[in-house]
Amino acid sequence: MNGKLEEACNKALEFYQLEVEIDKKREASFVEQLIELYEENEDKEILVLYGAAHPIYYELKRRGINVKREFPYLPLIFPLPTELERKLRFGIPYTKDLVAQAIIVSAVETYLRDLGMSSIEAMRKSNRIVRKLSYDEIKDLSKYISENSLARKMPIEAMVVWLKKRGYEI
Amino acid sequence: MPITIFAQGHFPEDLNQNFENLFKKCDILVAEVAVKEKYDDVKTYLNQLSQIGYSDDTFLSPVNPEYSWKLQEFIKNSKKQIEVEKSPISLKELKN
Repeated sequence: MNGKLEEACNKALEFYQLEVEIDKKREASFVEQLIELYEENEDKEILVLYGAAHPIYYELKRRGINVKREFPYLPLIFPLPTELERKLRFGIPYTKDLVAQAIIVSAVETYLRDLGMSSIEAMRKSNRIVRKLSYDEIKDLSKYISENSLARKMPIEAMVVWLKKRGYEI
Repeated sequence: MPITIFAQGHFPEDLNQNFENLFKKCDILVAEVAVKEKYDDVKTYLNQLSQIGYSDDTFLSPVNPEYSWKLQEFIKNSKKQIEVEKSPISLKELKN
């Protein structure tokens, strides 16, 4: 981020918007592929493993396909970047806090995974911690890292120290 | 028969008992592959894994290595037909 959070947020929004467009293109193609497979194998049990963020279930249903949906568990929690992408995709208002959170959450997640936490627990815990941070706090963090030469060399560790100093349990 | 979408987050924990039950019942498993360049490799790899238990021709490039490993354990020697997503997206497009 180099201390320029606003610029980073604008770039991130461009990136997530692009991801949304790519996802739409993929899903449209995948739905056609599934319909073809279904029509050729109506007597067979077809199981589709697909990311929950992709709303292909609704499109298949809309197209008259006999489809059901299962989840590994409920409630399903999306990583913050996916939450932001879904808001962009469906025109749901989002806050600048969420954009800033989506930028830094993967660094916290990586740190927690490196500590030995499972990937799902690391995602959930990093979501919980980072969701509490406001845009202004993330701006302070960004400034702290950019103005400290040691922090610039070890940004993840610096972020953890910064979070701990502010009482966030990590 | 209905198509069943197992909507998950690509975490190894997602491939739980619920998935195992659905997998045992299915005839065809369809897996997600984001880029078109991987279609042939992944389809060949997973079908060889399913039918003969191994494949040394190709490799799987996973989003989450633990998730991928666990999925492969289910598929190995299962004799299921494996189909994979034919993505219109190229690696080049993703990198740009």
